[in-house]
Amino acid sequence: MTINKWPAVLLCSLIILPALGGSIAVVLPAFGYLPALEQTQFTFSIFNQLFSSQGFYSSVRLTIMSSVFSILIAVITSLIFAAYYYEKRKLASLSTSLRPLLVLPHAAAAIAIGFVLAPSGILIRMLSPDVTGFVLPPSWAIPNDGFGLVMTLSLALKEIPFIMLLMVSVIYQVQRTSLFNQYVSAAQSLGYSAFSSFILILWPQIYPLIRLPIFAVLVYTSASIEIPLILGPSSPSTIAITLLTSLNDVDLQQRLTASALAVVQILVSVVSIFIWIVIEKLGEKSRLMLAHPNKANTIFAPIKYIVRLLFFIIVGFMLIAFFGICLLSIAGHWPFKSVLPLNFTLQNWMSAIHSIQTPLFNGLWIGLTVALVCLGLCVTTLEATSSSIKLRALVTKLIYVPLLIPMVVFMFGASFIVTLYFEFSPIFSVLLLHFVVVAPYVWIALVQQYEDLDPRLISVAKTLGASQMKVFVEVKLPLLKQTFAVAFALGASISFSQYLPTLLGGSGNIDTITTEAVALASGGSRRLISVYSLIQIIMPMVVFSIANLISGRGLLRGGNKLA
Amino acid sequence: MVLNSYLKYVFWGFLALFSLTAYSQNNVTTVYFHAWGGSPQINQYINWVGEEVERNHGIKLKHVKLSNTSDAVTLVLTQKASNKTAGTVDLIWLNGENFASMAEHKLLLESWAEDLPNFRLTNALDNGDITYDFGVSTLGRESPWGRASLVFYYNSEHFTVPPSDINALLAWAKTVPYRFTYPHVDDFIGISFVKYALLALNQNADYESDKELLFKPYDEEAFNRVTKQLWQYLDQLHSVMWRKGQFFVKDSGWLKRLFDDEEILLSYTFSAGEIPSAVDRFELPKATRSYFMEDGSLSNVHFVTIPFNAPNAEGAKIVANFLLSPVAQAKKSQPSVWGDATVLDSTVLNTQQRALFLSDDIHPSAASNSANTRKLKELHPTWIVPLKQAWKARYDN
Repeated sequence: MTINKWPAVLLCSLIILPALGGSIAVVLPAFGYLPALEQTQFTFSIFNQLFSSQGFYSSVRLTIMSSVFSILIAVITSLIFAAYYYEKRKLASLSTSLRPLLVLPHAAAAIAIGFVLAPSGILIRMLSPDVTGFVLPPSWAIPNDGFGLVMTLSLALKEIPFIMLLMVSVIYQVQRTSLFNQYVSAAQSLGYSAFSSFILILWPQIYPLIRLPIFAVLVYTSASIEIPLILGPSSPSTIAITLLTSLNDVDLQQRLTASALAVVQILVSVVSIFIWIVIEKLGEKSRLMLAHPNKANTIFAPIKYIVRLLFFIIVGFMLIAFFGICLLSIAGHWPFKSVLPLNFTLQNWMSAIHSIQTPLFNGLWIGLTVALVCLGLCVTTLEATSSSIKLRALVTKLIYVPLLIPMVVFMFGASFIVTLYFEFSPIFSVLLLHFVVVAPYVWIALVQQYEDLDPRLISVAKTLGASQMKVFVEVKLPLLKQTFAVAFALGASISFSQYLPTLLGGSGNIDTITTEAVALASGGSRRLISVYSLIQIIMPMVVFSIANLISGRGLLRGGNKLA
Repeated sequence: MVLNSYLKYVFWGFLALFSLTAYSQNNVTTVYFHAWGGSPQINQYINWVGEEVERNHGIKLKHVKLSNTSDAVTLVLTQKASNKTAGTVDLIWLNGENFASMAEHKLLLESWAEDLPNFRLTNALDNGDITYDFGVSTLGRESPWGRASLVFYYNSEHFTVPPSDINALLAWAKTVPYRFTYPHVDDFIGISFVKYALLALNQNADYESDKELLFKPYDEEAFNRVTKQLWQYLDQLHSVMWRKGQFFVKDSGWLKRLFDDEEILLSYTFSAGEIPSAVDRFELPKATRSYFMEDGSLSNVHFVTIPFNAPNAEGAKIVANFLLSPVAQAKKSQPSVWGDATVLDSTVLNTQQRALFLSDDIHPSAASNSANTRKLKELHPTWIVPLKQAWKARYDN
């Protein structure tokens, strides 16, 4: 059978052209090319200016350190959790119990962490004035400490559930396809504890499968906005925030600086990945050094004790944060001396409900349309590449391109190009830009399950003379119903949470819950931000529940495979 | 081949879906009003404006809620860059640097504002500031909407006599350390405090001619002379400010949150009407009181403007004219609605129109001394960038 390449070409070009084209469009002004400002001379002066600007190098250092360390903390934490709970067969439920953290929007997470940790936060309030003697909040330098410690830990906290989820899905996959469990028992008969054998023997099999996604998380983190903005230091901030500040500067010459910063942002992401690769090497070295049962067991023994403590801290933190957001959304006056608000009000909910109809409707249909199109095109591509594993693997690699370029970099350029060609319809531009962001996730959610399908089923059906269409409808569809539903729900939820593609593609004329939430956040009302965060949490939850319901998994179980 | 025919259906299906959604836009009578959307109260007022213009003029007003006004400036600039004659923005709420920037890049519709029927109610001849935006002549490229002036607020539960001028502020901060701060100068409210300090500190200086220079285009020599005192002042103030001036919040919303949490006890904002309503929405403590500084309050006018490529400039003019009507201005000035001061001159209004502005509900948190405040004019916009840069060179680590 001949391979039809067109779906793969269409899918990849729809994703890669805007991402790469957008990056180029953003990079050009950095070298002095911006016709709109009558700049057409090629020059390095913008970079020279940037390199000599106040706090530039400390900003670069802060960005790299905070992203690399947060990933390191998140990966190590996830690893010891997995090693500890794998033995107890509680891995899936562990990952599920952290899921609320995953759906918490970044801005809400940052506000919630501030709500717990700030000198006027809930912990100090509970102890004041009885224990601490504070009548007014103390003037401590947290959060927003100069080293970015709180920011780094917060980023790590937000990444842990995602990396856990990645690991859990990969562990299942490795278990199915290799002699995973035999390795464990072999290692244990050699004297390794279960914990040691997971880290020393299973981890090397798991890690390569989550390596690329970890790079993507690293890139994402190095360019993240909300947490560094709310919890990070101000002078200097991270590169991404400085970039955003120059984009928002009314001095239009600052657009050139912004472009130069975009180039720096890409370089910073690349350097972070290199540093991560060095860390990988060091990790591998120390793993080999520990490859002796006694050595390993002694060193890992104390770690086992802190795992539970760590888990309770994280979950406890998460619960207080959620409680805080719910409380804030209905809080009236709330002076420092009281642990709970003095009075409660539904005012913010009423005001939100009054004005959310259009944004809710816009967000829903954009999300559902994009998810449907992504699912359709991804499944078509998977079908068309079913006889060429090579082509499919190539698509899987290419699909990571937009995930490895910081979105704040390419989205401005991409929107410029897209709105140029689709001037007639802002909605089309919004859909296309959402597609670029959503499609990679939908593909990743589908591809593994597709490859795990028992090929014998299909060949049997084919020898019985069934057409590809018939095989798809009668064999694959029933088997993959749940995967499709989860991929669809995932796509829709990611679309719901997008700010830049909606803003830029629609020239700001299309409002969704997320654009509304960002606009209101600029007014600083914590109570209203909490209301919108809760709405933002509820939307994906509803879609996932419906997906589970449709695929017959029952309402309350999460989409475990990838989600 | 079966697969190919299947693909064909998929392709046409997607195309149909995309086209259908693409079609469901575009309305000729719509006016896209790009305005900061961070205040639910202001959003509600714009919503009311929308209802009125729809009823009276059949215009559908769409409020595009910006988190940053410069987003709209960038958007129009991008459209100019790609030679789009038909843009997507009809009306923008702005002033100061955003206006100066758009004017400089020729992104504005020329001389229209003074032809609006309601413009004469501003009595621009007697109120010079109506046609000057931060020292730049508007030349009819924008229509006035409201007035703002810097207002301070404090938590009266913890002290009763707030500092009444710039020097008293420093003295107060020394006795009540770490309870005042201002946002980073990249923020509009942040740089406004620095501007206030600069103007107030130079008020009693004996170099009278230099003071006038602040309102003319930037001059380096004058800059060095007039800012000397400012840096000395800020050096002292920062050492007793919240976080010892080592960390600056990003915007006035954050300032409000710190005040609500009682981390700071003295703060300021640009719109006096914002404070009582924030108290009513539980965002500021009940004991919040507001007042104007005796050595003057930095004041400016804010405007609406129409981009050169507005798809519905005629509709935008109708909306701008409605925004200037006594009914709309009176409603806007009510503390329970927005509390934004009017740009209309009461001497040219008739009795009926004047009556619209009467309001007798006095909120305990409303500014006590608004009538007799001295107004401080904004600096010429060319001073802003050097001022920001000098500040950053000193105080950004």
